[in-house]
Amino acid sequence: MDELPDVPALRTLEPPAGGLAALRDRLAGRPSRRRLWRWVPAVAAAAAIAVLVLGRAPRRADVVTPVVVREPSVGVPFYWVASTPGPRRMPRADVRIEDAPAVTTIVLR
Amino acid sequence: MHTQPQAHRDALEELYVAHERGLYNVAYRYVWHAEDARDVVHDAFVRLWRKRAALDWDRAAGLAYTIVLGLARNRRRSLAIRRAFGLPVRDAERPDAALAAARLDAAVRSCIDELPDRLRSVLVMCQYSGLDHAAIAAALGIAVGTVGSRRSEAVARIRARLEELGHG
Repeated sequence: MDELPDVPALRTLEPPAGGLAALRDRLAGRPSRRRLWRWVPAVAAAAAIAVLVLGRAPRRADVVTPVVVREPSVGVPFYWVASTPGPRRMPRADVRIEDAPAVTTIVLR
Repeated sequence: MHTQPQAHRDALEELYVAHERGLYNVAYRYVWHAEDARDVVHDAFVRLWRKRAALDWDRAAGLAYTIVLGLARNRRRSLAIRRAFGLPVRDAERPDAALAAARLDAAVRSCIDELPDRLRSVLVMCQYSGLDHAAIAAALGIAVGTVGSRRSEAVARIRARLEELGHG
């Protein structure tokens, strides 16, 4: 009762011939061509992921150097300073200067 | 004593020649394919080769079986995932259709596949490794007495399942 039926699925099989030679090749760093093909799906998947990641990466913001323009009509220490905040393009707006000529605040509306 | 590179190589090849058949048969009962089973065995020997400097060659056979079982389980899982995603896999080799016992053979395979791994690993190690129960217990990390009880449980489950399938 403690024995299994005698069927091919349970019989001891002989390994494929040439096992030791193939192992020597593996140890010598000569992978079989069949093993090399295993890397093809992995490389393709890595390339697809790289394309997706690079495609979604934010583009580098355009750096705009502030431009300083002297305004002698307002006062000696007054300058117009123009800049844009990061890559976002600011909409056109009215500019109001408070407390001229001692300017402290510029509000964009 | 194996301290020189050539001595390590000789010891590894001796181990391979002595246990190739047992290791192959253990791996085969997980992957059911000759080339996959041989790949598993070779992968195990590549790992042994990387560990050669720290290896106790007198106990290397048990370690080889431990590694083969781990790799065979992994290969089996990856084959299942590939099938689930519809990726191509090599079909399990079918039993010889010319044999009168082909249906019984297929049923036994499915019974082995249905066993939980704690029973399956013990069963295939007892059937094919040629190791004694103490060595099998050490390779699997279980008590010696557990080897016999799990083997009996595995056989009983297979026989019961075969009866359910009409092969009693």
